[in-house]
Amino acid sequence: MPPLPSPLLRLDPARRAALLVAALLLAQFLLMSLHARARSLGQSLPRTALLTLLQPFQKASDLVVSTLVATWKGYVDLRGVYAANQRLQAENDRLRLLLIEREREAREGQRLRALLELKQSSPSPTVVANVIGGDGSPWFRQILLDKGSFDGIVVNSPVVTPQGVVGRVVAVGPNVAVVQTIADGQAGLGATLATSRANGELRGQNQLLCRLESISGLTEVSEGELVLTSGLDGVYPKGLVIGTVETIERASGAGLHRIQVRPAVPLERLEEVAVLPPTIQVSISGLLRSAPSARSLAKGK
Amino acid sequence: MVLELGPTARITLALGLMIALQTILVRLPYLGFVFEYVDLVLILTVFVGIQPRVLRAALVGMTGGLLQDLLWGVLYGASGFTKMLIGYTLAVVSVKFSLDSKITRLLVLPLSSVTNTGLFAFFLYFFSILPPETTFRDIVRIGMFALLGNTVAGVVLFPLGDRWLGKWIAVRSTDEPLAPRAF
Repeated sequence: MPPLPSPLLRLDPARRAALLVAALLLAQFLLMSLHARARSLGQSLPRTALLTLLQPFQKASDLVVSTLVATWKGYVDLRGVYAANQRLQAENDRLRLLLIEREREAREGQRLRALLELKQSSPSPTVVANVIGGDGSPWFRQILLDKGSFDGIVVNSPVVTPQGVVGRVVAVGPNVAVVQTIADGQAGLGATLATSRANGELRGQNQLLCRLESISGLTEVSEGELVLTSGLDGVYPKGLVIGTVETIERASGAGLHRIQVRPAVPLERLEEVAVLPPTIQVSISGLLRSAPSARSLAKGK
Repeated sequence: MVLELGPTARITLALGLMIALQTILVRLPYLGFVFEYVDLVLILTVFVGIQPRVLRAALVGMTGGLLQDLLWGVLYGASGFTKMLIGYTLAVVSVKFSLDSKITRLLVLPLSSVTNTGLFAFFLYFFSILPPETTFRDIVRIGMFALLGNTVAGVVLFPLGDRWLGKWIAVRSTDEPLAPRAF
């Protein structure tokens, strides 16, 4: 251990400890400033390492808890009916996921490949993952999945269930992924009202309900109206169910409605989700290769 | 063969366990939402902080807080700063006043919980990370629930801590309380 500089040696141990703590506090304040400025939500090496380390414990405990809950339910409820119901529900969920996947593929095929001719880089398949943990804090609404980059999950992949949108992936480790749900205070996505077709922005509030912003007071909105993804955010595919309008504080004229939306997915009781491939993944390198370079253009002249 | 662990190893293990449990318990059916308002790392920091070992308390608070920050990924350093300050302050106070009794520590925990919520919310606000429509009332509501959750959890966890960590972190009368060798 290197010797302390002489002015520090002259201080008594209590002062030295106080100085060290003050320096560490200052360092953490600077870290906060840097992180807030970078706004790099999610992916960082230490975070990935921590999540990867925690994953086996979370997976094991989730297995234990779900087994206990299933056993309890199985014995307490009418066991046969419960099992049949579970089977049918699982089958139904599987078919609905397949339907979503087919619809998404059709839309992707028509819009992206045929019309826009955007090149897609290695589109990964839909991944079904189990929810194995939460963030354990009232300040955020994130969940942890038991699948990661080894299964083809990448950052910004939309996450859905048969009922609707859950959120998007904000960090990925080899065997774990962090999903920022649409209820998270930092989350936002493009939304469309199904009947009036007005576009707005859905924001999370760290509560059960989300807020739909930027809907003009001239737009007719009714309670119970379906809210869908608009696809304008570049993350979520168009047309997925987000939820329904719960309450409206109507604005007059040029004002904006204050709309609360109840997510279609029970975000606090998620078991299984589907991670879709990112909506638009344009291969920049491919485009650059195909585009003529400045030098070749100059030569041509 | 019994594996003998020293105080640093035990505290490190306890920190890891707290972090893992924090993410696991919120997934419990029906009861999970309660654990959103229980900060296990704070409880460990208070448990260590009521002993007059300044550096140990500060470092446990900082490490646990930074691990939480990594888990949340939203504002690195916010929880680390808050918990380090709480651990350090408690340890400095406990040099003059004995906080290490079953009653006192249960009084110190709610105070620490309120400080933790207040300071963390301040940092989120200061760095514009709180959702725009969050009101002071929302923060007070979270603070109150956290106070309740942490106190109840403390009643359960402190005796467990005594059993597993107690003899390792308790300061003997011959120890120098503020010495940097304390960890």
